[in-house]
Amino acid sequence: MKAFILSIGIFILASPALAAPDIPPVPDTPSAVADLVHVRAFRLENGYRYDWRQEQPMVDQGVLAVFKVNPDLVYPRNAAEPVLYAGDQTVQRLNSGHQSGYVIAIIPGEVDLSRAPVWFGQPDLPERVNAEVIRTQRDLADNADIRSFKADKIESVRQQPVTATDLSELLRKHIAELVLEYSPQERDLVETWRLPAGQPGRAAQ
Amino acid sequence: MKNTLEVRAKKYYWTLSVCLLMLMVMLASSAQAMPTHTQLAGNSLTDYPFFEYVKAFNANASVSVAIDPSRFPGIAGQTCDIYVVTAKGTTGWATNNTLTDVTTGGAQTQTFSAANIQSNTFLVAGPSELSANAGLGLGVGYDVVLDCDQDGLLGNADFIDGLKNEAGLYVVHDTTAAGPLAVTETLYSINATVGASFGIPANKLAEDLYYPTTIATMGQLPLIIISRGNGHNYQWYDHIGNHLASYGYIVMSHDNNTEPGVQTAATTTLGHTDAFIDQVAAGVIAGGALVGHLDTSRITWIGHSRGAEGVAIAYDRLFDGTHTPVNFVRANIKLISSMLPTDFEKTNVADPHDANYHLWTASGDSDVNGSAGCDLCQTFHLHDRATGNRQSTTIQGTGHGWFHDNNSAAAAFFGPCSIGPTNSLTHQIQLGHFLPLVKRYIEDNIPSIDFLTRQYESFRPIGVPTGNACIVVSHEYRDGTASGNFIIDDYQTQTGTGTSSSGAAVTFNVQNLTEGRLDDNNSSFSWTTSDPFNGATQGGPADTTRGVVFDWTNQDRFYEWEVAVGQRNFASRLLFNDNLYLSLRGAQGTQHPNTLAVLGDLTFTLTLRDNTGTSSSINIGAFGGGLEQPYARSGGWHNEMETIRIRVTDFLNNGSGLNLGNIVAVRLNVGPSWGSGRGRIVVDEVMLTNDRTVYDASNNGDPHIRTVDGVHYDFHSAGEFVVLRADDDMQIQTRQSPVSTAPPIGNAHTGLASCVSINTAVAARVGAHRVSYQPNLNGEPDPDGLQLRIDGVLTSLPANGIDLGLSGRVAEAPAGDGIQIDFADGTTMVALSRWWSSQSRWYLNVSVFNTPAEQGVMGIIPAGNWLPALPDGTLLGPRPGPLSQRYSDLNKTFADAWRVTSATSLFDYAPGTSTKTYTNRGWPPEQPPCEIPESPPTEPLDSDVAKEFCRVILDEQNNADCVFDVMLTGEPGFAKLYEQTQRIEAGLTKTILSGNRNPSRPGEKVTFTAKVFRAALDKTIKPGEVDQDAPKGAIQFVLDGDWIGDPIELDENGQASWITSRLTAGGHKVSAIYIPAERDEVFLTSQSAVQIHNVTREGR
Repeated sequence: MKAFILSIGIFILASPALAAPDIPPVPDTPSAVADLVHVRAFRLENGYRYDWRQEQPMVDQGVLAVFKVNPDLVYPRNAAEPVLYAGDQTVQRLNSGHQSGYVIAIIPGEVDLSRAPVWFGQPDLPERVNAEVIRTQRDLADNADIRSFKADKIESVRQQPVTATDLSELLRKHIAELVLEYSPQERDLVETWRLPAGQPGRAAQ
Repeated sequence: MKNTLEVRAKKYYWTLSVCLLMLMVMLASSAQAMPTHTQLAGNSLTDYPFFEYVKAFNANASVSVAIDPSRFPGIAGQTCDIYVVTAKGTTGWATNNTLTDVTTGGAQTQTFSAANIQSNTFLVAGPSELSANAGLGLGVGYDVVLDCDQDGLLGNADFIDGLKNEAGLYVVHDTTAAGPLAVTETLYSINATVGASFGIPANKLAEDLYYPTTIATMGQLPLIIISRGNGHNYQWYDHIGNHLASYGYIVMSHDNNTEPGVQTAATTTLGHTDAFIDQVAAGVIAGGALVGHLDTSRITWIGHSRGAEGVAIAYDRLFDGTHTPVNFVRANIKLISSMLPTDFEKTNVADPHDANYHLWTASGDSDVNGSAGCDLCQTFHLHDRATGNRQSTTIQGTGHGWFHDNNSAAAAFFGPCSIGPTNSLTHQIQLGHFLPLVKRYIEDNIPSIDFLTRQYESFRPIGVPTGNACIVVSHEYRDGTASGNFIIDDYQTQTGTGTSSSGAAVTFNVQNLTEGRLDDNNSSFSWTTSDPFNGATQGGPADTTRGVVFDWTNQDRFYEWEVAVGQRNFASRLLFNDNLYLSLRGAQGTQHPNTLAVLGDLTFTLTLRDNTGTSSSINIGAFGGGLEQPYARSGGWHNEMETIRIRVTDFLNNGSGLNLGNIVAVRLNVGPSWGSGRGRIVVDEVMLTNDRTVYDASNNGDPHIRTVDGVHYDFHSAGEFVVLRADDDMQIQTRQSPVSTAPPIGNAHTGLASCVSINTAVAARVGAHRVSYQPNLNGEPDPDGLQLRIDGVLTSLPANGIDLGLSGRVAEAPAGDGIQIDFADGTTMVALSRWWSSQSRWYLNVSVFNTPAEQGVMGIIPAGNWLPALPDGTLLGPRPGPLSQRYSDLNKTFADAWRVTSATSLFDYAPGTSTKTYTNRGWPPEQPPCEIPESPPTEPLDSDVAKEFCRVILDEQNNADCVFDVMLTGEPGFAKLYEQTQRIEAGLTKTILSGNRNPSRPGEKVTFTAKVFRAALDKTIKPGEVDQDAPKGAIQFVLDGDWIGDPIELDENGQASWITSRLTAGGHKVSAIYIPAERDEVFLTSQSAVQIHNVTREGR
């Protein structure tokens, strides 16, 4: 085997890269989302802990939004990815979007998108992002002249608010439909959210 | 009273001393009467040591037998019959020493020469000649015997490989091939409310479950949880799920909250583990098929990428106590395997701590790419933080995406010599190693170790192709247990280049040597002299992992570790058999000119030198490989560490003359005369190591300790002591009370003749519960029996025992008078008691089975020491010469260190009393007389009388202890207690009951299955494996206290099922009683825990 490896090694030195990387490099940030195609306010009867930022606030209202994005910005990778921000919030991405170019997302709390720019900041883990990081990233976005959407643009894509008992219902009934409409390649995500759920067992009794 | 004792002392002391001598002679004689136990099975090698003894053989490989006449001169000139027999184990050989060869041609007759090991090497089985049909197991065990008196029986003149619990060899099947069980897969979502209660987000509730289709007929199966990576789908692990489920595991892959990060992933892993156990018990998963079949005491976590870091963080939370699960405890996590983990959280958080940890690395990964400029992409960090058993498997030519099963997803591969697409080859390597890996830590499987330790070129899963030069696999393996391991140099302390971490001198003339952190110090893997650890990614900036790096260029050079004084007796480390290895890990220095100049495997020679200057050398290439060439990826190669292990006894072959009893140096010889002409290598973790991980132990009579590593010594201090502990959930304490006797007999291990005490009470920590078994608290002698308390409450044991949660249980002992405690970590303790009327007190024998515990009075005695370590890890070193120092070390330093305190005591006390009440720091006195006011004088017995009482005790050591105790105390009851202990040690069983659904509907068919296991170490529970010596007999099922029909006979796997459709509405108590076969004088009855089965109109 040693001799075999030797010959392989010589060959390798002669041609250092025989296969190209299939993960695109991370685009430069900050980078604005390309477009806003859907906005819908929501309320939840039972809120949930928002784990897309370090402070993990409880969320019982927010905005469902669909953004058109550069697919390379949302290409799934296990190393750090660009974090999506909206104003002073991190944005919860509910799908990948790298195939369709559309990201379905939740912006928690009351947010006025006409005053809140939406952009991809430096690669990081959202769970590590706190208010201070957001301020820093916002400054970078401002310096890059990333602007919020105009009010008429927002109004043109705004849908009627919805109410759900909890995030689970919101996912199954509303967000799933957005995935099917804007990112149908991710149908398996919808199927996962709509899997039959077991009855409450011991823990819930 | 004093005069009486002195008279007795004069009368019996001489007699007792003579008897001791006689006993020692008897023991020595009987030791000579045993067959010689040594390694025999293995493979021929072209170069020295000319033969490698191994544990595992692939089914398609041949098996050879060799014996070195220089090590065993008596073999020369003998004509022996070579038998390959089905492995029997200790008990099997004790009861049947008949030799029955299982090879095609039968036993072969060979005459052995005095020449060398090569001339005494014989092929005994060709490819596929020995059955590898292990059912759900990994390999079939065989023993090898050289029957040198040619009588067809194992006898005194013979040699055997496998006499003990480890078989001589194991023939293993293709580990890449699916197991024998059909697998059912089901997709579902955890109920959102349940999920939320365990911290699972609403969008991550899905699970993909794989389990044996015939699970209803099976017992409890270990659980494997898979946590996906970012951008992956939880349904992309069918290959792992189906593979492991087909071998009898329950595998669940869950959606994972990786998108926010790795902490959220860890939370999801913890939550899904808890929720799954909860929902299985509730019967809402897979239609209740898993109810009663989930073994929550043995859990494996497998993670991928961010999920792979997540599983380490999850364990870190358990370790730090920042997360408390509901349905499992940290001790239940038996293995963590991280596939290509990120390292966002770094030191102290992404930390597997003491878990059994395994790492997969893909050298062609373009996501977690291992590059110098991406610290969080360096997979090896997590591995090097692990402090327990740890191993890694590095595969060249593969990418991040080929570890899951979606060929349409991104391969995330970048590099030459690809082994994909598709992911097929990666999967074969993955599956071929996952099976032995899981079996290693779930079942303490022996042949699995070969898959994790031997050079891949020498031993690999059968199903992985052999003709593809791009398949390059490297293993790292470090046994993290204290037993038998001695770290010569891990570079973590004594950081000067002239001193090893074990404190001895290091000398060298290799060039450009640097010690330091295993961390490339810049963002490039290009070689520069300012970055001596170029390519090393074992540690990040905050990590402490260290090693040494050096080079040589076309000249012979060396690097030598002196072996510290006190550690030089390698022979004493051969505790169990020849499974003692010299081990180190090393890697070629990335892109160094010497690495580039000589591509391919790099070899060197390891040399042992003794105190006379005699040396023996073995080139690591003799075993078929070397340190692999780093994966030559454009833009960066990382160092790929590989462990080299050489059996220490190999250095003795062909009359090397080496004295393993006094090894003064280990030398690493490099250069043209010793291997590769030039090179640059990183070296670390130079150590002596063995493979033992679980133990049996005992604490009998007045008290004779058999430690978990098999050392016998007497410990007579008075008070309450921690005799064995593993972690916060498992601890055993005993109370030792002094007894007045004649002057005692000396103990061979301590060399002391101490006045004695006896065990009079025992207490245990069983998970969250405290159990005590002790005399009544008021101190009045009470021959009616000892009292059992659970958490301080006086408790009567029902026939089926008491469930203590999370696999813990206390029940009556199946033989004699006493209790049995099952701990969550698999430990079983039996305490047998007997009333001593003349002393008006109870005394106890304590037996422990299958325990991972290593600390305490019964704990491991580290090599080079005469006693177990103290609680803080302090070692007492070798046995002191002066008797007074021994006395002080044992009865002051050691005893006081392991005494319980009021805060740590597990016993119960009457008001106004405490552990101090039972403490007597003056006992034993340094010199006789052995008098204590609370103990009436005892009347010693003549040795012949004592021997007669003890003649039924077969184990030599136990027999000697029995005779000692009966002689000294004059109490024949000790012999009875030893006899009952003997019954326990030989035949203790465990019965586990499971049902296929719970609840069920009225009239619905329900299957209850009971499985019976033997408790002793040589028959460790291996779920689903065919156990040739499984208990025989029948199971009596019990419903609501009534026996149901006739007993049902156990099948070959020791299990029986009861199928009923007559359960009426309501709650039912179901249990199973094992009834040993008629005339079975070995196995003892056992009862399962009571299961509550609910029958409701709604069913599940």
